[in-house]
Amino acid sequence: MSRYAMAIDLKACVGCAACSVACSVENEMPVGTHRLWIRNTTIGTFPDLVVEHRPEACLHCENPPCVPVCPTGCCFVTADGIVDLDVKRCIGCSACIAACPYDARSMHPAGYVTKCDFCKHRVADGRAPACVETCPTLCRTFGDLMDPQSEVSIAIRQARRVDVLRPGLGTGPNLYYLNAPAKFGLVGGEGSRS
Amino acid sequence: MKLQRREFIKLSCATVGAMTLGSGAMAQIFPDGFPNPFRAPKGKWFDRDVTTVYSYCENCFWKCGIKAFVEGGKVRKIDGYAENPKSRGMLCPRGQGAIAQTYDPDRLKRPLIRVEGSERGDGHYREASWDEALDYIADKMLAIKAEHGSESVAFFAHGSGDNWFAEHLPGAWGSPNAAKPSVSLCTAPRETASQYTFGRGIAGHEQIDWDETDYIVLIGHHIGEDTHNTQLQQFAQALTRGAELVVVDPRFSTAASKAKDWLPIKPGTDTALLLAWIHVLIEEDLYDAAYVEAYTLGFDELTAHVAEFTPEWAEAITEIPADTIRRIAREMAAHAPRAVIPVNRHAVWYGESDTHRMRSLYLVNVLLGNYGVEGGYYLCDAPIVEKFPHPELPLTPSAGGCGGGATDVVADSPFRDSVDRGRFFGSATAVQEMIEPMITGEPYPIKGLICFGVNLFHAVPMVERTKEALGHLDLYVAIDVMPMEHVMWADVILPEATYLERHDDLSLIAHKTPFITARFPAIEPMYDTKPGWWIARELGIKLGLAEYFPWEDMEEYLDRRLSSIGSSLEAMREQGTIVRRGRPYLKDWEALNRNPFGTPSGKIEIYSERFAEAGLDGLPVYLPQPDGPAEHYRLLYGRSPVHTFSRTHNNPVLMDMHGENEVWLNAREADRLDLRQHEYVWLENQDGVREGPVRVLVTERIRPDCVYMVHGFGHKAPRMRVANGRGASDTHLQTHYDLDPVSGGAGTNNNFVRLLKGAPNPNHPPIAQVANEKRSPA
Amino acid sequence: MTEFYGLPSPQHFWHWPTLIHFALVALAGGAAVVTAVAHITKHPKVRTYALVTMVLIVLDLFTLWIESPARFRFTHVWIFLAFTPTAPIWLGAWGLTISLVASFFVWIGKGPRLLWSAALVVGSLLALVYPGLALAVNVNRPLWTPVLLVLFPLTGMLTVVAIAALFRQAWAPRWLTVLSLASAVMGVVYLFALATGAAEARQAYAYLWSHGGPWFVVALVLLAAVPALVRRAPIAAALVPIVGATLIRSLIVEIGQVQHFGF
Ligand SMILES: Nc1nc2c(c(=O)[nH]1)N[C@H]1C(S)=C(S)[C@@H](COP(=O)(O)OP(=O)(O)OC[C@H]3O[C@@H](n4cnc5c(=O)[nH]c(N)nc54)[C@H](O)[C@@H]3O)O[C@H]1N2
Ligand SMILES: Nc1nc2c(c(=O)[nH]1)N[C@H]1C(S)=C(S)[C@@H](COP(=O)(O)OP(=O)(O)OC[C@H]3O[C@@H](n4cnc5c(=O)[nH]c(N)nc54)[C@H](O)[C@@H]3O)O[C@H]1N2
Ligand code: SF4
Ligand code: SF4
Ligand code: SF4
Ligand code: SF4
Ligand code: SF4
Ligand SMILES: [Mo]
Repeated sequence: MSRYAMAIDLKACVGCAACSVACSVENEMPVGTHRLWIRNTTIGTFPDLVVEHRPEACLHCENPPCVPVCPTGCCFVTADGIVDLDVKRCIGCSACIAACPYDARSMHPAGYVTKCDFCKHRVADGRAPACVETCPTLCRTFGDLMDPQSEVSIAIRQARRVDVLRPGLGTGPNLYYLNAPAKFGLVGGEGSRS
Repeated sequence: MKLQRREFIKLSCATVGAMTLGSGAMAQIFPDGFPNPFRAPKGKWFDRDVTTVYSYCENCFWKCGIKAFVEGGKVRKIDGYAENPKSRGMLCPRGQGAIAQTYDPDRLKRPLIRVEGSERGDGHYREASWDEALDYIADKMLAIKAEHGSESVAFFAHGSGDNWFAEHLPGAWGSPNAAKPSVSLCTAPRETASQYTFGRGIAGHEQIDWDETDYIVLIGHHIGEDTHNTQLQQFAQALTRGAELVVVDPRFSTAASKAKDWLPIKPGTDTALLLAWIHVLIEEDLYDAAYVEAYTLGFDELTAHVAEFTPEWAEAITEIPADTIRRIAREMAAHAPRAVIPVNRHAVWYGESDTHRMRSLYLVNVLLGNYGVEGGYYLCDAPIVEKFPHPELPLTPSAGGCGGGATDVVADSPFRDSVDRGRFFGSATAVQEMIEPMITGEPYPIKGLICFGVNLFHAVPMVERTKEALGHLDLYVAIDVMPMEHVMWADVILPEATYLERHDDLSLIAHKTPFITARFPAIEPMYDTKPGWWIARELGIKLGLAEYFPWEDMEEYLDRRLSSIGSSLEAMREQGTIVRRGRPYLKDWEALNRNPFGTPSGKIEIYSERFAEAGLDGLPVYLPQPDGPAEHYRLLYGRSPVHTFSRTHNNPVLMDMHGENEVWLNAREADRLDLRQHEYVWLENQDGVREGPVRVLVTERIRPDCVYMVHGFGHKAPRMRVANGRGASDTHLQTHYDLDPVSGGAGTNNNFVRLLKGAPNPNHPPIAQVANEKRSPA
Repeated sequence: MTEFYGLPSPQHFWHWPTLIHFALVALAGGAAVVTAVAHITKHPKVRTYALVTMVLIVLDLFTLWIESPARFRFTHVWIFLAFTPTAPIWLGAWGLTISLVASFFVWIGKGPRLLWSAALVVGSLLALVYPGLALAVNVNRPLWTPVLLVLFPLTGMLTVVAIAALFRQAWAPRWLTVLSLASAVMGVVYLFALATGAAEARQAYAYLWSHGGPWFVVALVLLAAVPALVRRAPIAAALVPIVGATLIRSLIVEIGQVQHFGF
C-alpha cells in the first residue's frame, strides 16, 4: 500500500503547459477536454509584481468529496490513494463535478466524467506520470509519501514552503505546491499547510 | 452555454420527432450506432501492442531526441529519452503536441501546380504527379539558367532538410543565393560579434554552462516563453539550485517572474547598460585581471573607451537607476567567473546597434573571466562525421545557420557573388536582402525561388514587398507541409512528408558533450508526400546533377556516413543518439596545447582591428533608437511557450492551449485609451498598415512605452482551418526594418503601432469545435 | 490578472435542461407527497393523484434521460443497483422509483395498503428532499447552503399545491398561502444567512446580486403576494407561486454553480 502524491515546485514552474499537452496526448483527451491546466496569475502593480504559474489537476484528496456523492458508486479510492472512477458505470450526472472544490473533473464528450488518475497505467509500470516525465523545468515530483526516501517526500521535506489548495476544506489534498512565489503562499489559496 | 442550448434544442426536437415517428430514433440518440453492452471496450493505446522508433523533434529547430510510440499504424505519443543530451527525457509542449501536425487533415497531400492563367495568390491549383511537378520545376530552372545564369535562382530553406535546399542543391546547381531565416532574421549579430571577438561562433546550442553558474543576467531572452527544451531545463535547474537571476526586459517576462531583480529597461538602450557595467567593472577594479591578461587584446582601448559611460550616463538613457546598475555589476563580479550573461538567440532587434550590443554583452562576460570557464560559456565543436563521398560541389553557399560559421563563396569561382554581397560586412547571406533584387534586378535579377520550410509572409518583414517580389519571378516553388498563405502563392507546391514519416540527415550537435542523432520514420508517408532528401535528389537528377547524388536512398546514405565513425544504420536504429566527450573548458584545450580562439591574433579581440579596418567601430558604442510618432507604442514581440513561430497554429492541440495572441498594454495606458481587458482593437502602424482584430491584454507586466505580441498568429490562409484569422501578425506590422551593416541582420523593433478602438469581435468558435468538425481533405 | 492554458470544464456543469428537471422533480416529489397523504387519509381522489404523480415522475425521468450525456448507460439499472446512500442522486432515484411503483399500485388499487403507505411516505419524502440535498452537500459552492434543505422542499410542495389549486382542489388554497409565505420567509432567511455569513458567503451574496439577484427579489415579491391574491384572483394565486418558486430554484441552481472566490 502506498500513498501516492505529487509535488510541484512553483519556483521552477514556468507555466509552459508541456505537462498539460503531455497529459492530453497520453490519455487521449479530445481537444477541449483537459485533466490538467495552468493558471497564470499576476498580482501587484508595475514594477512590483508577482506571477504565479500554477498547474492544477485532481489533488487525489484524502477525503474526496467527489466520491460519496456518486450515485452509481463508480467513483472510488484505490488502496494507494488514487481517486479514480470506472467510466463504464458513469451516468454523467455531474454530481461529482459539483462536489469537487477544485474543478478537477470534467465531462468527456463521450458522456462520462474524466479526471487525472495519476497515470495509473504508467505508475503500474514503474514509470512517472506523463506530466512529470516531460516537465522541462523538472519541477514536478511524484511518488509514495509513505516512503520517506521517495522523490516526492524529499522534495516536500526540503521545500522552503509547502502549500495545498484550500486546506480549510479538510479534503486532505495530495498535490503539494512548493515554494509559492508570493509571500503569503498560493494566490487565493487560503493559507498554507506549514 | 448558448451553443449547448442550441444543440439541446436540436437534439430534443430530433429525439421527440424520431420517437413519434417510431423509426430512426436510435440513430439520433446513438450517433455512433447502438452500443453493444457485451462488446469489450476498446481499451487505451498503451494497453495494446506498441513499438518504439527513435527520431528527433521538428516542431522547432532545437532537435530534441524523441521516441515515437506507434500503435495500430499510428503514432500515439512522443516522449524524450534520457540518453539524448537535447531532450534528456523531457519535451517542451510543442514537442509533446507535434503529432497533430502529421494527422492534420489540412496538410498538403500531393504535388500541386498553379492553374495556368491564374495569378499568384489566387490559390487555383491542380493536382499533379511528382514527375510532372519536378519536370515543370527543372524546365523553368534550366530556362532561367540559360537566360540569366544559375545564380538567378535563389534558395530559402529552414528545418532539417535545409542542408539539401540551402547547401547541397544550390551548391551543385551553382547559386550562392541560398539563405536561412535563422541567420539574418535571428542570430546574425551574435554570430558575427562572436566570430570577430572570439574567433568562434555561438552555434545552435548556446554554450552556456548552466549547471555550474551561480548568477545569471538575461537581456531580453525570455526563457520560459522561449521553450528551447534543454536550455529551459538547465535554466530551471540553476534556479532550483539557488542561482540568482536578474532579468533586463521592458516586459515582466516569465523569466522576470523568477528573478530577484527585474530591470524594466527602456527598449533599445541595452548597450548603454552593458557599457556602464563594463565601466563599473573596470573602474572599481572588479574584473578578472588575470583572465584579461592571459586571453585578451585591447583592454586598454576598452578602458579609455568606457571612461565616460558611467552608471549615471546610463541611467539617463535606460531609465534604470545608477545605483542598481552599480549593484548588479558588483554582484556579478562577486560571483565571477560563475556569473554569466547568456546570449539570447533572437538578436536582431535594432539593426546597426545589434552587433554593438552583442559585442558589449560578450565583453562583460570576458571581464568576468567566464568564457571557457566553469559557470560561464563552455567551448564546443560539432562531432565530425564524414560526408558521403561525392564530387566536389562547384560552389559552397554561405547560408550560415544558427550554428554561425558561414564560409565565403570561393573568390575565384566562376559564379557571381550573392546579390546581397557588399550590403553588409558579414559573410552569411541575408534572406531579406534577396528580395529587393527580385524587384529591381540589381545587382542582377533573381528570377526563381525555391522556398523550403520558410514562411515568407510570417518570417520576413515587409510582407507587401515580398508579395510584389514574387510577382516578378519566373518560378516560385514552395516545399512545405501546410497550405500556408505564402505556399498558396507558389507555381508548384511540393508536399514534404512530416518528420514522423521520413529519414533526414544526421543531426550533429556542438554541445558540451557533442552528439549525433538520427531520425527514423515512425510511419510511412501519408498521402502522396515525399521526404526532402528525395525531392532534392529527384530534382537534382532532372537538372542533370545526378553525380552529386550518388546514393539510392537515405538508408544507404546514412549507413555510409555512420560507418565512418564505426557505427551503422542498424546500430543507430537501436540507439538513437551517440554521445561524444567534449573539451568544454580552456584548461581542457591547454592540456592539449591547443588554442580555441580562431581570431587572427589567437586571442579574444576586445578591440577588433578587423572591424576598424573595415571602417566599423573597433569597440561597441551605444546608438540611440528613434522614438515613434505620437500616440504610438513600440511593437515588441516574442514567443508563446506552446507555439513555434507561425508553424503550429493549425495544430488543434496547441491552439487549444493558446488560440489567439493578445497585444499586451500597460494598465494605465489602457485606462487612458479607455480599453478594457480582452476588448478587440485594430493595430495600425507608423505607415498606416492595419492588422487585427486582436484582443488587448491589459497588464501591469509591461512598460507604458511599448506593446508586446506573441509572434506567429494572424494567419490569412483559408485552407488552414484552425489557424485562419485567429489573432494578429506582428510581421504584417513590420513594414520597416533596420539593416545591421555589420551582420546583415534585420532589426524589426523600430516599428510602432497605435491601438484603435471599435474592432469587431471575430467570435471565433472554440478550437475544439473547429477541430472536431469533419474537415474534409482540401 | 489570471490567464489559463487548457481551462478545464466550464464553470457551469448543469445547463438549462437541468433547470427543467429541478422544476419537474419539484412537482413529482410534491405530487408523491400529496398522494402519500391522500392515501393515508383515504382521500377520494387518491387514484387521480397517483396517476398524476406517475406521469410527473416519468416526465422527469425522461427529461433527465434526454439531458444525460450518457443516455445509454443512464437507462441501465446500474444506478439502482449500487448501494450509495451518501449520494443524494441515488436517494432521489430510489425515492422516485419507489413512489412510481407505489403510485402505480395505488392507481390500480392492488396490493397491501400499509406497504404502499409506508413506501409512499419514504419515497415521496426522498423525492421531495433530495434536490435541495444534492445542492447542499456541496460545501464548496457557497451559494448552496443548508438553508436549501428547507427552501427546496417548501418550494417543491408549493408548486404542486399551486397546480392542485389550479385544478380547484378544495384543500389547496389554504396550503398555498402557508407554503408561499413559508417559502418567501425561507428565501429571506437564505439571503440573510449569506449576507451575514463568513467572508466567502458574503462574496457569494455579492455574486448572486450581480448575476441575477434582482430576479430573486422579484420571486420573493411574487411569493409574498400570494396570500393577498388567494381570495381575489384564484387563478393568479396559483400561477404566481409557480413562477416565483421555479424562479428561485432556477436562480439558485444556475448561479450557485460558481465555485470559490479566492482566486
Ligand atoms: N516556444 C518557443 N520557443 C522558442 C521559439 C519558438 O518559436 N517558440 N523559437 C526559438 C528561436 S529560433 C529563437 S531565435 C528564440 C527567441 O527567443 P529569445 O532569444 O529569448 O528572444 P529575445 O528576442 O531575446 O526575447 C524576447 C524578449 O525580449 C524582450 N525585448 C524586446 N525588446 C527589448 C529590448 O530592447 N531590450 C531588452 N532588454 N529586451 C527586449 C521582449 O519583451 C521579450 O520578452 O526562441 C526559441 N525558442
Ligand atoms: N515578425 C517576426 N519575424 C520573425 C521572427 C519573429 O519573432 N517575428 N522570428 C525570426 C526567427 S528568430 C526565426 S529563427 C525565423 C524562423 O523562420 P521560419 O523557419 O520561416 O519559421 P516558421 O514560421 O516556423 O515557418 C516554417 C515553415 O516551414 C513549414 N514547415 C514546418 N514543418 C516542415 C517540414 O517538416 N518540412 C517542410 N518542408 N516545411 C515545414 C511551415 O509550414 C512553415 O511554412 O523567423 C524570424 N522572423
Ligand atoms: S511542464 Fe512543468 S514547468 Fe511547464 S507548466 Fe507544467 S509543471 Fe510548469
Ligand atoms: S480534487 Fe476533486 S476530483 Fe480530485 S479527489 Fe479531490 S474532490 Fe475528488
Ligand atoms: S458524473 Fe459519473 S462519476 Fe460523477 S457522480 Fe455522476 S455517475 Fe458518478
Ligand atoms: S498524472 Fe497523468 S493524468 Fe494526472 S495530470 Fe499528470 S499526466 Fe494527467
Ligand atoms: S524544444 Fe520542443 S519543439 Fe523544439 S525540438 Fe525540442 S521538444 Fe521539439
Ligand atoms: Mo530564431
